[in-house]
Order: sequence, then C-alpha cells, then structure tokens
Amino acid sequence: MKLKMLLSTALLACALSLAGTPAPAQTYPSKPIKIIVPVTPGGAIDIIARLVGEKMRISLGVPVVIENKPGASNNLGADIAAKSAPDGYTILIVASSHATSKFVYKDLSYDPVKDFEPIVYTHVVPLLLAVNPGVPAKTVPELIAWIKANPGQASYGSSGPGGSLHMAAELFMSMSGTKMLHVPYKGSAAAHPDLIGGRTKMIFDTVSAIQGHVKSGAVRGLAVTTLTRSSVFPGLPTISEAALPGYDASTWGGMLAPAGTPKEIVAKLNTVINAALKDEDVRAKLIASGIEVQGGTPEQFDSFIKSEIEKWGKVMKDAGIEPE
Amino acid sequence: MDILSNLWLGLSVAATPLNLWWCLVGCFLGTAIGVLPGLGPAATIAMLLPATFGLPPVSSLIMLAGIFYGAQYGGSTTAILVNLPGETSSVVTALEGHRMARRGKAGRALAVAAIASFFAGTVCTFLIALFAPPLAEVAIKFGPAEYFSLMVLGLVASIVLAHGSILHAFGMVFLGLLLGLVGTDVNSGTQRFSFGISELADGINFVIVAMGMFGIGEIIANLESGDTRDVMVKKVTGLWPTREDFRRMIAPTLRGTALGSILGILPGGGAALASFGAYALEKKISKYRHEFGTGAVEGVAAPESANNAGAQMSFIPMLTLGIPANPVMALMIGAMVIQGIQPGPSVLTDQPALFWGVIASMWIGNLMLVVLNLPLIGIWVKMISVPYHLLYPMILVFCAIGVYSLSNAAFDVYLMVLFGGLGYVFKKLDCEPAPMLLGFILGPMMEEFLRRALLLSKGDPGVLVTQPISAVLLVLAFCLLLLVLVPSFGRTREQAFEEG
Repeated sequence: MKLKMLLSTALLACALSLAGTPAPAQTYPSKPIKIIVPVTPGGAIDIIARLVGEKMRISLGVPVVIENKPGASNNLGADIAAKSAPDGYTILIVASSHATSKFVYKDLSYDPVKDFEPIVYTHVVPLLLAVNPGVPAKTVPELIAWIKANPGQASYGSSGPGGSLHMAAELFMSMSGTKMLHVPYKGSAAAHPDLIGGRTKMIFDTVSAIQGHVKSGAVRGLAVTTLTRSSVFPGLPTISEAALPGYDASTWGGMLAPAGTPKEIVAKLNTVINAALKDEDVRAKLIASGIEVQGGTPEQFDSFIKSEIEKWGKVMKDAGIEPE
Repeated sequence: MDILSNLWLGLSVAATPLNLWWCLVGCFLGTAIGVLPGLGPAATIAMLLPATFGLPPVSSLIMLAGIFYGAQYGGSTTAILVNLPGETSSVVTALEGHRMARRGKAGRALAVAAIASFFAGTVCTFLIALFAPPLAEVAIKFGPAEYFSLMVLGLVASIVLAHGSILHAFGMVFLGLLLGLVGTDVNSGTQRFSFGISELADGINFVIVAMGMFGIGEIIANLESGDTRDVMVKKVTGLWPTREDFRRMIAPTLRGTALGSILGILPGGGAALASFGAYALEKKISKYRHEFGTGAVEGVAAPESANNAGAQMSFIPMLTLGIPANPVMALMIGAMVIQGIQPGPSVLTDQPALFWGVIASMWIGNLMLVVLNLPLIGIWVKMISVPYHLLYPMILVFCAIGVYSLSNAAFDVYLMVLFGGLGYVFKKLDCEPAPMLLGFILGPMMEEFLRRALLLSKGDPGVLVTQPISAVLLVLAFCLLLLVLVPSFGRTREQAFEEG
C-alpha cells in the first residue's frame, strides 16, 4: 500500500514536471493539485490542509495530494513552493512564522511577500496565557504586578526562539513594561512538563495544545491573546480587555500560490477553499481542536500578511532579536 | 475492584468484532511494512495515518496502536535477519540476534523476540491499567537536571557496552555527539554546522544515520568477500526455541521488562535507552555472558522485552498528560486531535471508554502479533536464503524509499549513501557504530537539558547535585565510568569480548 502511494506520488511528480506551460484558467483544474505542508503530519496546518483538501477534491473533481515537506522552521517547504510553476497545481499552506521568518533568518532563500500570491486566510488559533497554579495571580493585572514584584522568579516557556509563542510573550513584556526569563523548548508540548512541575511559571500557548491542562487544573488559564474571546473558553477575558488595550497575538495560517499564478485560478481556489471552510463538518472538527475558521478574499489576506510582517518586525527589533 | 472494572470496560470496547478487525489490520499492515528494512514505526504510522481518518476515534487509535506494535516487531525481524535496524531500539537486538541468524538460529531468535515482546506487553498492559494515573506524576518530577543526569548515565553505559577498544568507543561516542549538534540551536535559533544547506537546518534524522551505518555499510562490507552467503544460509537448525532457550530467556525477559517499564515512562528516548540498558545489564550479570558476541539468547530476549515494555509504557505520558515521549506518540496525538479528542489528563476522565479500550487493545494487539508471526517465521527466515544479487538491490531500494519518505527529500537519500560509506570505513577500522548512534541521539538532548537546567538555575551548575534524583543518577554514572577505567576491569572486559 505504501509502495503504491509512493509510486503514485512519484508518477505524479513526473507528470507535474512534464507539464511545462500553465494550463488555461478555463480548463483548470485538469490534473491533481498538490498542497505543500511545510511541517510534519499532525500539526494544526497539516490538519487543515487534509480537511480542506478532501473537500477540494470533491468540489474540483481532481485528486488533491498533501505533501509534507518539513524542515528549517517551515522555510524548506515554502522555498519549494516559491520555486514551483505558478499554474495553480502547487499551493502552499503557511503558519504565522511566514510573517516572522525574515526577521529570524538572515539568508532566507525566498521573499515571503514578493514570491507568493495570497489565496485565503484559513484560520487563527488563539493563544492562552496560562500560569502554574503556584503563581498567586488570578487575573492579568495581578500577574503583571507579581512579575514586577518577583523579577528573579518570572519565567516563561516557548516553542522555540522566533515562534509565535515567544513573540506573544515579547509583545506582552513590551506592552506591560515587564521582564521575564525566556526558556525555549522544541515545540510547546515539550514545555508542558516543566510548566506543570512549576520549573517555569507561565506560557502563551495555543488553545488547542494547552486546553487539556487548563480543564484538568494542572495549569491556570488567565486570558486569551486575541481581540475576541475563544469559543473554547468563553469565560476567559482577552488580554486586551483585562489589562493591555490593543494587545493581539495568535498563531494563524493561510494558503498561498507561487507568484505569477493567474488571477482567475487564485479566485477559483479562493471560492472553493472558502466553501470548504464553511462546511459544517470541517468547522466542527476545527473548533473542537481550538482552531477558529477565517476565510475572506485574497486581497484581505494580502494586507493581513503585510500588516503582520510590519507589526512583528517592530516587536522583534524592540526585543533586540537579530536575524541569524 | 476499580482496576478490574476498568479493564472490563476496556475489553468490552476493544473486543467488539469491528475493533478486533481494525486491530488485526493494523498489526498486519504494521508488520508487513515494518519488516521492510529501514521502515520504522514512525514512517509506517505517518504513511498509514490518512487511512484511519474515516474510522470512529476508538477504532482509529486501536488500529494505529496495532500498526505501532506491528512495525516495532517487524523492525526487530529485519534487525535479526539482515542486520538492518529500522529504529533505535532494535539496534541492540541486531547485535546478538543477527549473530544467532548467522549461526543458523534465525527462527529461534525471531521466536524468542516475539515471545519476550509478548510477555513484556502483557505485563505492561496490567502495569498501565494499575499505575497510569499515579505514574503520570513521575514524569512531572523529571526536570531538565534529572534528564541531563539520566543521559550521562546512558552515555557512560554505551561505552561499557561497546566491543573492543575503549579508545575506539570513546571516539565513536564523540563523533556521534558532534553529528548530533548539526542543526538549529534550541536556545538561540542559530544554525550550527549546517553549511547553509537548508536540509540540514533541522539536524540529521536518526534513521538516515542508522540505515547508512548499519544497512548500507554492512552490504558494502559483505560485497568484499564473495562467499559470505554461505554463512548466511548455513542450515537453519529448528525454527522453534529449544527447552534450553526457554529456560535461559526467563530471567533476562523479566529484567528487561522491569527496566523497560521504568524507562519507558520518561519522555524522550525511553524505549531506546531501555534496550541499550537491558543489553548492558545482561552482559554484566548473565551466567552466559561469555556467549555475548556470538549470538546469545539473553541478548535478544532482554532488549526485545525492554523495548516493547518501553514502547508500551510511552503511552502513559501520551494518554495521561498529552506529552509525546517519542515521534510515534507525537503522531498519535496528531491523530487524536484530528478525531476531535484533546490528548491530556481529560481523556481519562471524559472518555473512559476510549482510554481503557486503547489499553485493552494493547494486550489484544500483542497477542495477535504472536499469533500472526510465529507461523510466518518460516517465511521470514527464507528471506535470508534469497541470493544476495537479488536481496541486496531490494534492500537498497527499500532503504532509499524509507529514507525518502521521512520528509520527502532526495537529499536524505544522498546523506544515507554518505553514511553507508562511513559505515564501511568504520567497519574496516574496527569501530562499533552503536556507541556513535547513542552519542548522536543523546548528545543534542543532553545539551538541551543541561542548558535549560542552567538557564532555570541562573547559571548555577550546583543544581545537578542538589536535586536528589539527578545526584543519584550522576553517582551511578561515575561508578560505572570508574569500573571501565580501572585497569583490571578493563582486562576482564577485553577478555570477555575475545571469548565472545
């Protein structure tokens, strides 16, 4: 079975490389579409690519192949997509690191804006500010006061330097005028034992990843990082309403096509993916795992990406993070 | 009693015809793919993951668990027959198991591996049912300092475990440490030793190194002497273990199960550490330690029971805490999320039928593996009598497919070829690849945990000895190192290897 899948993937790759000229938009799609997922199977954008890909297969009538190309903090897959033929048969799903990678990596082999045509903003995953129950603070203002009173003790875990968890904390510190020790891990799941054990004091983590620990009482949720409350924890305030007006951080994702993909094809993909995102089945599965469905036009996604790049570029600069 | 009613609930879920069927399908597919050299559990599960999306949550997890055990067992089969361990934990099985196979005892080695695994699986099912909730707390007690000390102990043990010269073993460990450093630094995000090659940015995958060093290197070395085939197809004496084999495997299986159960709970390489540890332990205390190096039953039974116990226990942090102990568990968590289940402590309280159903299916899955594999051993054994000019190209193709499927990158295949060449050179130089692999795996983790421990202690290294668990582990490592370095011990050690 595996061999068969590999063979079909290999044949598909041959077929794709043989087809040189972009297909006319009227006949699109006439062959399988490949969605490049720049992470290993199992993460949020992988789940979305698979759920949406299945609906695309039904509505477009061609096979949709999910190809995981993990590596180099999502940059490997993005680079492959950027250099693919702009014919609508190779598209890419990105996470919010797409907006920060050029501030983290000096020698980025592609341009996050110039090398892509945005298709659609697929989703946002709110982050949740959670503390170890040993921290006395019950609200965000109390937490800020506690950090200021205990500068030596305050520490937070993250999924790695430059990631959205780290960025959310940097924004929090710069807006609240506090300082904390940053303890990076390889992915946020690895950070949980130290948080639960009290060795680190808090984390800004995705609702999907941390909700189990919040519900069980292993950690205490204080607030969510988006401007609207999370549908999983409607009782938790946003950081913006609780203490820091305007505070907004999240991890999000969307689909991109290589630059030069015909406008009509981008529009068609946008329509189909928007429809897939409105599907009850897809919504229910995503909401249950803490992912909030977005959608919208390519233009909206384009301006969103540009505003994110500007915003986090400034946060990184203020935090003294230089590209390596 | 609570545990009985829980297990009963689990059995009533797992033993429905539908779930039994998916468990069988999972075990079969897992074994069939796992038996192909180089395709370990993680690659197998990743490939078959989409096939489970359409199933109800319990069935899909049961099938995935079946694939996991099947692939794990299949991996041991190739380790024994063709010396190609597809994953860390079967590296050790290959040491004695393949030597048994070369002496015509392939069937017996496979049967011992299956039975030892089944025994460990049975014990662990009950252990998990009994202790899952309280055991989850143990993992929380392990902070970065404790992990660092545990890894130091593991690394020192790997030197004791190595054949031949201690100097070679040290050299190989350090080479492994260096190779392990390739990739992105966790603390700063800086690239190290990646030379601007973006495929190296996340480091080198273990499977590539293992398949290159063990698999390809072995094949090149065998090509050198045209008549090695005779050794391989030497008459297979009995497929079934003798009464003597059974008697000899009892104690090692018990010890391996115990070690694997303890180490498996810890996130991060528990199963691998367990099989290395169990092998080292048997080599020290077994009555038949002089046979090690020539194909000792103990050297198969102990690591096999330990790695199966470890693999099974790694479900504990995954099911109770939502913390993946290894890449396979990370995939399982992904599968749960797709099914709308939030892994974590809430699974046990919110979905008891799912939790206990998966646990009961572990035992059923292990039973199915034995039933499925014992009759098939004859077929697997025939695999090694296939002429080399047919078998080798096939193995090479499957190695290439397996490595390519890790992250769909041709670069990884080239890298495997490079390590194949290195493996051959090291074979010529009498340098064992096992310590290098352990250094490769433990090195980056040690660094990560040490730096995190120091970060949290504000740079005070004293934390390593003031934390009691960490201090005990370090003292053990120090004693072990002293043993190796004391000249008289060194001599006996060498003698032991020469005899072996």
